[in-house]
Amino acid sequence: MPESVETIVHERKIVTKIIIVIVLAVWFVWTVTPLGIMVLSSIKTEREAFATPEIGDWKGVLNVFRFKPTGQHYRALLIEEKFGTYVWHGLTASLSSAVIAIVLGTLGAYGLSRGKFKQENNISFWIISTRMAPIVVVIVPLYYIFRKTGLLQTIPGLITAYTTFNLPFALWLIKGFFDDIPVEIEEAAFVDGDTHWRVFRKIALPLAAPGIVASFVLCVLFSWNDFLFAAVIGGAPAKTVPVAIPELQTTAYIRWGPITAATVILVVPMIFLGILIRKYLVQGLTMGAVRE
Amino acid sequence: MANSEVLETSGRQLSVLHKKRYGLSFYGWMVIPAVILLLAITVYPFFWMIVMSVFKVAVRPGAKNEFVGFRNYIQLFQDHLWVKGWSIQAKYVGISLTIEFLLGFTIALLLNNIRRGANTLTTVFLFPMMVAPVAVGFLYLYIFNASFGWYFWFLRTIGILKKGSILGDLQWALAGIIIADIWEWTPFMALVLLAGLKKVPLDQMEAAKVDGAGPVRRFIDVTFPNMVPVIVIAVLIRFMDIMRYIDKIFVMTTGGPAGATKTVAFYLFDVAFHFFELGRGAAMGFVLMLLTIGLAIAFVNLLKRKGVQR
Repeated sequence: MPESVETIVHERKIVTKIIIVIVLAVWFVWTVTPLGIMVLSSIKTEREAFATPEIGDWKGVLNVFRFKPTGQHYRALLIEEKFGTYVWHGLTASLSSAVIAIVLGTLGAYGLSRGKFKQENNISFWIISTRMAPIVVVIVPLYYIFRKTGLLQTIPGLITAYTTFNLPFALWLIKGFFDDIPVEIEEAAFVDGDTHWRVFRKIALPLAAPGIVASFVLCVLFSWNDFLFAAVIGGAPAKTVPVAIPELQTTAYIRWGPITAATVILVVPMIFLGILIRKYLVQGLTMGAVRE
Repeated sequence: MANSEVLETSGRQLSVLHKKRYGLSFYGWMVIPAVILLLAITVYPFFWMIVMSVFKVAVRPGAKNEFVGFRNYIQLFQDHLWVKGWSIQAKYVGISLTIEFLLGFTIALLLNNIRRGANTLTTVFLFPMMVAPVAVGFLYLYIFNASFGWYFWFLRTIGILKKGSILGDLQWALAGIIIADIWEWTPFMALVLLAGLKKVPLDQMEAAKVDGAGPVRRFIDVTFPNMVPVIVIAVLIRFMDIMRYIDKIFVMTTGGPAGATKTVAFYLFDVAFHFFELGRGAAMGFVLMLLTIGLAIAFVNLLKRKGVQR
């Protein structure tokens, strides 16, 4: 009875498929819900945002969508709270640090990738351990040094702090991209009489460019999202968005409206950046160890 | 063959020439700026951390620091909050990692099995990773809120949570933070493991199929052994990052209620920047650092030995 065996197999396949779809759908809802609630709350009045149904009232869930959009929280943030300044601080600090990390990192990565060094293993170890050190650990001596040198509570101080994790990250990741380029191409150029610098500029750099751009984006993302360094080292004169948000809560009252709006400002641009470098994300987040 | 020899010597000769003229090979000069900056911003502070750890660092800048020898370290063993912090940290790390790994692996396997929509889904799944940890903290603070939070409503409605609040409860507070961490980082596990699954050799898979191995057998005999290096990397990186950040705890519970979520990392922050005992903080940091460095060694060795995916 070949047909019945086939139908059993076929049915089992359908059942598996249904299970897969259900699990993935649940995961989708679980991933998107918190973000969705946040975005919706940011354009609701607090009364509407707090209108959660009674315990056990499933039909009341539809309340989420019952509201008139308002921009009041965004207005409050930008006008009363001067969030524009904090966005500016965050952008300056993260972009500057990313530029420093990428420029020095690209040069160093090419050197490390092509040159032969006696201490190569130790250098690799040093770079990786720097990137992996807990931020709370790094921040204690950095705070002390910055206090002595006057870098505390300044934007340059914050840029330096971000570079402590961005530079080793960029160096290591970009080295991986240079390692991927076959040396033969460069050797051929040497024969044609090109100098080292020209070979680097005209051949290696363009080939590694997409990876370098992805590394740049990741550096910006890490520093823009940072909270601890900005809170301890940046302080009030270099306040960034992640530091400004917790200050919207007082002991008496948490201003959820502006907080939700500020979270949207903090998060949405980064999600777009993430999608932009989607192809390099796995490689970037595993320090180049795993690739897609 | 002779041709390639010529090519090689010409490149190497250029390097030798360069070294003679400028004292260092071209590649050496390329590395120098990055190395100098790194020395200044990583090794120098590291040296200071060790120095600070044997001092009672004055709270007021400019005041004299008092040398205390190893007292900061000895105190650690008598500090019950530090000891308790390790057990909380272990719970936090252990539970989060286990759940994230199992869920991540499941999602990766499922994503690997569908053809349509897998790309769109992975894109959506990566959203939480891009969200700043502070924002994750506030997202969950918001939906866990005991008077209007949607997750609070959900947990009460399906009857898991009997009464009280989530983050104010001694038992639930850590669970709340773990839930937020799972939301934020399971996608990382899924994405990395999915990349690993795509690399499992198809011919081995086909061979197992021909031998009549079922899906479970194939998973145990072919998929899993091929995945081991990727799994180790994913878990290690996740482990280090979980030790790295305290942002969520800071926002969601600030270590409370009654110290129920005060991990070592958070306790260190408290000691250094709340009580401003920088010397003690440095001693704690040094201990925490040794642990991380030990793992970094393991990580590098692993990469060298297996040459994973390269």
